[in-house]
Amino acid sequence: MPVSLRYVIKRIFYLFLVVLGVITIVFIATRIIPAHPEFLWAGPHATEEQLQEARNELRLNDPIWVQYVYFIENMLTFNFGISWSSRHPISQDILSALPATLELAISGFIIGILIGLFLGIRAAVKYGSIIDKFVRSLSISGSAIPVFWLALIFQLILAIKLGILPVGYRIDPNAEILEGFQPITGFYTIDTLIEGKFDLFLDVLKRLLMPALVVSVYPLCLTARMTRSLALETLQEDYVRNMRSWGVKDNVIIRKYVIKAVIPPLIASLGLSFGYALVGSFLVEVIFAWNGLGMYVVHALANYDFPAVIISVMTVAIIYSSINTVVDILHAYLDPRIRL
Amino acid sequence: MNKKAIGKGLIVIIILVVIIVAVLGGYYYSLLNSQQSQPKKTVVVYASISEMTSADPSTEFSNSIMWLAFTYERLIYYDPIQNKLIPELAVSWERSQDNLTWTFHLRHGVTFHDGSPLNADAVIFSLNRTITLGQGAAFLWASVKSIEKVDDYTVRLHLNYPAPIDLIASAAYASYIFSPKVVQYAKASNATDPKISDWFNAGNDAGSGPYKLIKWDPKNEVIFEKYSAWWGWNATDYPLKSSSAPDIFTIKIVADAVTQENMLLAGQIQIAQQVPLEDLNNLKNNPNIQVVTKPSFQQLILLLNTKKAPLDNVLVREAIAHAIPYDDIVTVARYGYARVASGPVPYGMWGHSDQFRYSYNLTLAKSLLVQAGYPNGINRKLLLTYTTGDIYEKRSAELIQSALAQIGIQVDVRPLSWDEQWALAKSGWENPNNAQDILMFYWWPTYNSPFDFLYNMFDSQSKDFNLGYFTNETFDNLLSTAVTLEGSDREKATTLYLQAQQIIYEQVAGIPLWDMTYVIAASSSLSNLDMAINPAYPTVIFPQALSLKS
Repeated sequence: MPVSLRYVIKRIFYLFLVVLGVITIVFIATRIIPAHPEFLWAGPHATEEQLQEARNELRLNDPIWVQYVYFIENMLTFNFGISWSSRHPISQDILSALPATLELAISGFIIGILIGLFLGIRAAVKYGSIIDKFVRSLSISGSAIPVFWLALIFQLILAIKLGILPVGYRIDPNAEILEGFQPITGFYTIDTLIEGKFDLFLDVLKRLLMPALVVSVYPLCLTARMTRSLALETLQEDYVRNMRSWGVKDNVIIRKYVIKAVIPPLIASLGLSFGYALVGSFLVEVIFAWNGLGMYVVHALANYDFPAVIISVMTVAIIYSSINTVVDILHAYLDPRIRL
Repeated sequence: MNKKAIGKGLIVIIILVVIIVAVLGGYYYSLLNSQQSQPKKTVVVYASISEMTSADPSTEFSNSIMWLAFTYERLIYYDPIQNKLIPELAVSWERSQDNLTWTFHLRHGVTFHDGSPLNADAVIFSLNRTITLGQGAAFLWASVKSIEKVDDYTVRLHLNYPAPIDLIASAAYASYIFSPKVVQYAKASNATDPKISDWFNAGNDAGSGPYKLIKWDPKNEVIFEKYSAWWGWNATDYPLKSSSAPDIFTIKIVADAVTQENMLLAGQIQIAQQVPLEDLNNLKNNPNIQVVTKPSFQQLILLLNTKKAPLDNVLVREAIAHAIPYDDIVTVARYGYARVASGPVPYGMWGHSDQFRYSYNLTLAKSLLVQAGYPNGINRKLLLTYTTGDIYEKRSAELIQSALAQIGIQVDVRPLSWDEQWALAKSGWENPNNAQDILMFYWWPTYNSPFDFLYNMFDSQSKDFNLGYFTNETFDNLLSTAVTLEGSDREKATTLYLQAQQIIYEQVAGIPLWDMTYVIAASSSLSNLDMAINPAYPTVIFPQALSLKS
């Protein structure tokens, strides 16, 4: 039976509700902070009249609810406004920063899921063994370690002590000048291949690997932990024990039964995993001088550039809740119990 | 069946192996590649902590000085260490007897990056545009009445009142000369048309300096290429250059000091603007790294609210001045990379004197408080504001807080964004009781004169930056006399500036804490770094002076 339209509409309605809630909270938070954005807008040597003009232009004299109504009206008409610090349209700033963050988050997410799945199943099969203990301690300590600290440790070991990976930047700093590289999609792994610059592609891959490994740690731990317990549950089912006693090999059991049982609940957790990857890339972007959305938000916050902060947060909220909505619908499709 | 089952686990392993092989393969491939193609361009990458700002040489008054200073040129270059003015676009200059006329003789054979020649028209066009727009540091030229073209290579400035035009022409801001053709390029109607500003900010340059701008991405990276037709490469009277200067100079924005350090250690960048000071001893022991220190004109200072009790009492201000452990602050806040300040004019600047240091003496401080009528300390918490995000200010503020507690003065230390700190402080001119008691901030000069420090922070006319609301007529008079003498009788001006500082010292209008020592960490493959750094042009590395060892 297909997933009902009613369920899909309900999920999309929730999505809007979540995004609205998030931007409302961020909006209120940014207006409560005592700040003087008119100084930013009017420049360092502004006169009192220029400041007053700036206050009017930014609607700072209006009560907060009037500002909120204007803000929502602008959102509904896709008018995302101009950054107070860069003076660029915010939508333009975000579109140019987003590919970097997505490239990092998606790579970290994929690495995390694959390794996590592999480790989780290994641990479950060798329950109680040294592998199992390793996976268990890894999945707990891994999610307890702050990624920004981990990022520095990775840099210290992989780049400085061993010297096998470069630190920082998405591409050789002078690729554009010396090799004529021009971004097309903003995803450098794709762009370098489109332009047929294979050595630059390898450079991009090398630079992507370290931050992606750091970002992968949270989704990896989550996936490993979930896979392990789900697989253990399956392995302890009576029918599995029976098969084992009949001499069916472990590998066959894993492939035919364990993985099948593990995948659907795991899909439900993909949204969360991707959320972790996204948050992770936000936290490490500054450390890897990675010019994505995380870096953009950090600068915006430091400059009290509130419109930029709100729209960035909204973008992330939309991405995150859209993925969760898709995952939920997918999960409902796979598991009819959810649809009720 | 069995083989297929193994396959599942294998897929994961194969993917991992492919990734690892690709990475290692790529690494060796690139190693191989870099050995093959020998005549590659030489590149130096400089990591900057902050983003670049605007690109208009007339109005820019912020971070972009980091590259404007070598993409554009001034009439005169200033070497503050030797206190020497070095001819740049002007080969010589003289002033009239009455100090109201300055004549500049321009260098022949200079071309802008667009190929057009430097001449009197270009200089007049540039200065007029800067003065007319009146933004950024254009106020430096306030004394200029008119600019006259004597001949194609001679320019004369007529002044309303005497001013040190030689120092102003060598300033780090508002002093740049550019090609008048920008009007055509920008399709503008005249010199002050905002279209020209837009043209600059789109990443175009019209300078004559040793490097030209070839990529403008102010949030991420800005890239420069050597300008081979630069006059200076062959000029014998111009010292700031090197025969093995890099072909490409890149400024990369790396906002985190630890990342800068790691990138430097990994060889990704050659110069780091800021590394954690606590790591410097390690870096110094690393043979691949050099650490260059230079005195700077950047000073951390406390301005005391002289219009609000209890700091309106000079005895209380004096007590505070003697209760601060200056040496400890330098050691803790800057790991020794600073010099205890003596007067608001920093060490190395003309007009500086070592006479204006306060002793650290708690007994004296306590007895001063008793004299002032506060034998049991102050019964109210004083508010000290500093700029949020600056770790050196934070550490200094916290030490001051604990030091003042020892003489019975409680301090509320509050970090604010600069916009906010400044707004609160400026409101003190109207209502000093609402403003902070103590303001901590940095000052560095717009042009190289004691006047810049003393006027901005202490003159009663300076409502923007005199944030201790200090008013003293004798002081104001000393300054206004001294500034007119700067251009003609610098010795006399110096004497007057010292007298003015004596007043600040006795009145304790401000408590200078330390003069920062700039610390730059760089790869050992660079030499001449010392020459490429100049405190008169803060944060600039002049790439034309760098030498790359092969």
